[in-house]
Amino acid sequence: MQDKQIIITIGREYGSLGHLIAEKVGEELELPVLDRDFFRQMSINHGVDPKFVREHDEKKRNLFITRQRRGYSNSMEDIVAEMVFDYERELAETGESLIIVGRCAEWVLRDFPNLIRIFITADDDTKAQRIAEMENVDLEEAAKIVKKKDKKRGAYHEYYTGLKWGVANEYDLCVNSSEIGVDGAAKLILQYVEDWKEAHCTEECE
Amino acid sequence: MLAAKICAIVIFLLMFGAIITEVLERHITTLVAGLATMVVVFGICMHSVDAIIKTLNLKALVTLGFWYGGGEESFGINWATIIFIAGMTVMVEGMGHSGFFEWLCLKIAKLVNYKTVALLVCFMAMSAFLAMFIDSITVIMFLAAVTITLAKTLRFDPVPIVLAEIFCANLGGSATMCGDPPNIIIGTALGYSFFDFVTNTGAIAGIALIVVMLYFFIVMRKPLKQSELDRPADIVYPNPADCIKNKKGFIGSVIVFLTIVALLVTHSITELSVATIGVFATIITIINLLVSFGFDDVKVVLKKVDYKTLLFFVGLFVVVAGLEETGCLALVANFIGKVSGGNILVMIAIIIWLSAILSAFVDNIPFAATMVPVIQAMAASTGVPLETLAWTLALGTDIGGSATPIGASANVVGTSLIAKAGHPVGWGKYCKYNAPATVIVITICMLSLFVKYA
Repeated sequence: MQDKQIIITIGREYGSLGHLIAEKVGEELELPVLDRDFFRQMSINHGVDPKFVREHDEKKRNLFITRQRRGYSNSMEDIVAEMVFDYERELAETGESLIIVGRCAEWVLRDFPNLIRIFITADDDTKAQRIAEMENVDLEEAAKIVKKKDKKRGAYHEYYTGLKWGVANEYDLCVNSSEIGVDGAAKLILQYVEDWKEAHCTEECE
Repeated sequence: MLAAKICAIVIFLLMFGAIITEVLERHITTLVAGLATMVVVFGICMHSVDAIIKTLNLKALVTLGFWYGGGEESFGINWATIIFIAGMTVMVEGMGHSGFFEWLCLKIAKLVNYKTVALLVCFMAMSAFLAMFIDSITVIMFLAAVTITLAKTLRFDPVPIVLAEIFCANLGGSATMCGDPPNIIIGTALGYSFFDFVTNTGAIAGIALIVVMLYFFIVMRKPLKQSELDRPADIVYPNPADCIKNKKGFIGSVIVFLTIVALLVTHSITELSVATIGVFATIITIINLLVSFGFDDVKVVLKKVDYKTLLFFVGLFVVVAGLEETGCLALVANFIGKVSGGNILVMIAIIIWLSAILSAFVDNIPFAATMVPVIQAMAASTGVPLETLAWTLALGTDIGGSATPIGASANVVGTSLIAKAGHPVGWGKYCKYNAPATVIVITICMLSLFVKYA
């Protein structure tokens, strides 16, 4: 059971602390967490400037200034997305357990068994409060940033997956981190992973 | 009729908007717009079953003139264009399957001793030459891929060379009837031959190619020359022969290619239509694949054919027929005629720059398909020779697309391939090299047209 691969994907709203929650879960389960830094390494491995990947990561292509022909696209966003999705598949195919934050991973890896799809949300006020503190801006400005960022993430997700972002039935577990924070949310996820393992073990044992 | 006109224009504009923004796949957009034209414009507004039958143009397929001897019907769906493109696509996929393109690129690289500046010049010339006969997307797909591989091995920046190849592919495509879809549309709709194109657009493209090769040579030679000096000594050069997957198939595909080129060059003498040549290209490619590879490979090649583009054409021709049947295009023709005051020089200038600028930003295929009836009406109303307007339109639409990364399919494929190889090319970098080249070439074309026809 210990050796069985588990892939945990964590979608997250801006200000929901999804990244920190993923790190906490990764720490507890001793699993690598694929986030921005990890994809930076991916770009270096592929001989691509990390700045280029960072600039176009998790963004939807601009329909007016780019084109697609016969499966080729000259949108930098499309190229980075393809690179990232391929990398996610590549890593999943190694059979190692891992956690992936964002980047449509729950959709990209949908055919892999042992996939646990999680979405982290938070109340708008809480998200704004957190971002205001993190980015040292006033609440009004923070609320705007949150809205803009979530809009972008939603558009990115919808464009590449064709599915609405953050809709509960696309995930196994949706967690609101407003009241319970990083530790509480991580605890919930860890409990879910434990129960999931038990359920799968039972099925296999039968 | 006013309601029909308005509906035809609205459908056309919505279709164009959807093509530009790619909210739907291109073929779905044009097929939906084509269906809307049939139902709303011809059916509801005009109550004309005849217009629908005329637009579907199925009768043309069973007339002798469609296959042999000329005189094919040009209204509505241009089946000759569709059949010809389908046939050429099968042939090109078959050639790719045998490893012909990679072999050719590497062979030339070897012949010039892998010298980077010589590679630039040779690959530009080869890009233009191949694009005269096969679609520019395929030319760039293979040429850019080989350039990127060579760049990694020989340690040079592939971006300038790929951008020059893209430009030359678009320019080469303008030289012949089968080089670029707008030319196929213009040629089949107006009854021009391969030879007509070569002696008109081809001659002008030839002059422009020399100038543009000089331009790219001047702009790019320094960094490329430097890369030659910095090249390490222990490089293992690729072997062209390794690209050939099946020697029999390879020789067969070369024979198929040369046969089709010969048929195209002589089709005004043999009176075989391009549709016939397209069907013949399909048949001999399949025979070659069957003999050299086997049935499974035939299936692989046929699966690679871009059916979506063929469907895109079907819908597009119906929408343009809607505009033509309702008289909208005659209005555009009259407007351009009035603005130019019937002066041929002004007409050439308007058509070439208008088509070049629009083609730099929007798909040149719907534009060319729309403009064919417009130039026909202009020629009829002003007395300006139709030929002059046709060559002007062909050059403007084919070459204008080179100016921006979204102007032509080859640009999209080329910039996509180099970005994937770790060399992202945005609008700024692309336009820095190719926009001035486009302006230079369009100016050369305009002046040549002035001298030749005015």
